[in-house]
This record gives sequence, C-alpha cells and structure tokens, in this order.
Amino acid sequence: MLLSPFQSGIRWIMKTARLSVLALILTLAFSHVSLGQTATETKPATQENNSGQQQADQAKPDQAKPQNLPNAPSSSKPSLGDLGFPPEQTQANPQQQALLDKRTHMLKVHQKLGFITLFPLAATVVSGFGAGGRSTSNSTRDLHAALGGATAGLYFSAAYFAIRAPKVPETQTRGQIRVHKALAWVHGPGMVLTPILGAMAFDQKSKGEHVHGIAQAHGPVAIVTASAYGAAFAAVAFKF
Amino acid sequence: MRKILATVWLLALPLLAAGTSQWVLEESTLIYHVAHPLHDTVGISHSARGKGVCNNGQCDFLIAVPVKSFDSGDSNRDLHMLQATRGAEFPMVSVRTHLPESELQSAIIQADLEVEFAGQTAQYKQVPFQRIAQGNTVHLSGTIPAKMSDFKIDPPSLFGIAVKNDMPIRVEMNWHPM
Repeated sequence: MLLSPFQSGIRWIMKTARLSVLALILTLAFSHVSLGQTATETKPATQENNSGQQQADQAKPDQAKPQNLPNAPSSSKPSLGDLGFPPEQTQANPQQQALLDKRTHMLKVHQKLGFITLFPLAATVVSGFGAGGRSTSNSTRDLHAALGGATAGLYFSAAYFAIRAPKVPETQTRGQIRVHKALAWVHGPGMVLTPILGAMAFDQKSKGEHVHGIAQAHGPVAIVTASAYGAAFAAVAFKF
Repeated sequence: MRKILATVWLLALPLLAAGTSQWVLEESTLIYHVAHPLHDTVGISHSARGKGVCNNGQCDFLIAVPVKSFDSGDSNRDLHMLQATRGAEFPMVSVRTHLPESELQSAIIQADLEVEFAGQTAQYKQVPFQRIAQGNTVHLSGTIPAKMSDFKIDPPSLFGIAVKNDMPIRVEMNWHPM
C-alpha cells in the first residue's frame, strides 16, 4: 500500500515517540539500578577502609557522625579504597604502635634524666676550678668528686634509656638527631674516662703529690666531655 | 538510518541522564606547623591522593594522606609525631567535603571539612580555599585551622614544655577532571 508523504511522516513521529517512551523507561530503570549498584559497591569499600576507622568511630561517641551532618555525602561519595593506596599503608598496626609507645616512653625518661644531668655537670665543672691547690685535703675537691659521682650516675642512667629504647625498623636517621647521636661517641667515652682520671688525680693529691702522668688529662678530658654534652643538648633543643 | 539513530539515542540517554563528572588530585603539598618556645617545626607531605565525584550538581571530595609520609627533616621527631598521633594504629588522615558543583567555579571556595585523624573526627566549617584555574588544572590553596585537642592528641613536650595546641595545616593542591 502506497502512503502519502504526510501519512509516512505521521508514522515516523509515532514510531519515534514510542521509542522515546521506551528510552525514558529504560533510563529511569538504568539510573535506579546504577544507584543501587553504587551503594552496594561503596559498602565494602567503607568497611575495608581500615580497622582504625572502625576503632575511631567507637572512640568518638561525642563527635558527630557523618550521617548526622546536614550536608552528608551521598552514596556516590568516593571512598578510601578508590584512592589506590597500598593495603600496608592503610591498615592499622597495633604492634608498631606499641613499639612506638615504648620507644617514646623510654626516650622521655632519657630526656628528663639527661636534662637533670646538666645541673650537676655544670656544678662539677665550676667546682673543678677550685679542686686543685697544694693541700692534701680540700672541701671543694671533695664536693667536686661528689658532684662528679652524681653526674656520672645520672648520665649512665640517661644513657641506658637511650640505648635500650626499641629501634623502629626501616627508619633511617635524619636531621639534627644525627648530631645528637654522633656527639654521644665523644661524651660517652669522656664520661667513662673523666671519673677514672679524676680518681687518679684525687688519689695523687691526697698523697701530697703533684698530679702527674695520665691523670693530668682529667681537666681537658672533662672540658671536652662537658662541651660535647652541652652541644648534644643544644642539638635537640634548638633548630640550626 | 532512522533505526540506527534511534538506537544511538536510546543508548546515549542513560549516559546523559547520569550527569556525573569526576576530579582527581594530581599533586599536592600538605604542611603542618607546630610551635614550641624553643623552636618551630614544619612537616611536609606530597603523598596525598584525592578524588571528587560530582553528581546532579553536588560534589563529594575525599583527600587522604598517610600520617607517616610527613617529613619534618628529623627522623626522631617524625617518630615521636607518629607515636603522639597514634599513626600506626590510625595510619591515614582523611578529609571529606560536600559542595554544590557551582561552588567549584568560585574564586574562593568555602568548604565544610570533615577531618579524620588519630582515630577522631573533627569538623571545620567554612574553611576558605583560594581557587586558581590554569588550563585544565585547578589549583586550590588554604589552611585548615586544626588543633591538637580536636583530635585528643596530647601535645608533645620538650624539656617539660609542651608545644602549642594549634596545628594549622597548609594545603596546596592541583586537581584536574578525569
């Protein structure tokens, strides 16, 4: 049957209209399904964020949860899993946290004892200038020896906590802490030598002798040791 | 021909209806600043990753960075920071925001931020970010006025003196559409 151009036009419009309605229905169905899929896909991503996030949620009862926000993100919001971080970077490591806690605790004790040591150390240096003299007995010399003993005791206690503090694997020492650690190779042996040389000098003086031999190095070794110790303190206290 | 056109139209409609666009964080610099009477400290990270999804005129952005990626130039200080912020237990800092898509065209974007850090969540309202568009890239810069107390972090101390509570985080980011 032959159709006029008008009739074929009407037919084409009807056909297109039917297709449009079909497309509209499909569009609605598609968008509903895709939203549903996004919501289902987001759920595990949120769950696998990390155990830290779950712990965080438990640890913040007084904090507003994201769901309660007036502008809370929709279901299409990106998740941590979308960002492509390697799992070892996003997963909680309680063992390492415990190691860090222990390290920090020990280094805090080291810091306190090291800081306290500064005072008897300074007093020992100052009293050292009056510890010489020709007499066999001298109260300043006794005080100097007592202060030296206290300094050594505190110093080795502080050193113990630094040496025994756990090391964090795969950590390269950088920055001013390197200077602090390097100076320990100067004041550490110095703190061993100084009391030994001091005891020798004390003994020689007590016998009425002039300080002689290796004991003569007591003063210079003590000055180098005290200077290195002061520099080690400055290396962590101030920024160069 | 008509059938082909109709089929194309049929297939294209769902895509047009979705109206979704995505943004990806190309590069970034995050800098925290901590002040102590003896010296100030800054820690820098370039390891942030981020994604933004805009749907029906609304956008959700997520930026995350590993806590351990911040470098202050001193390994001992970084380890103390990691301990104080419980960075091994809660290894990521994440920032989320929800914006109207039209806001992305403003020279100053006022963002409501939700920051998750050290196992706590804090919100910062109307944080201004300067926006500069350079070709296909959008540069955003601003400062998050974070405080240690917001995340229940005990301020670390040096020789018995604690650092200040303020911990502002300077953010420089380059975003581009996917």
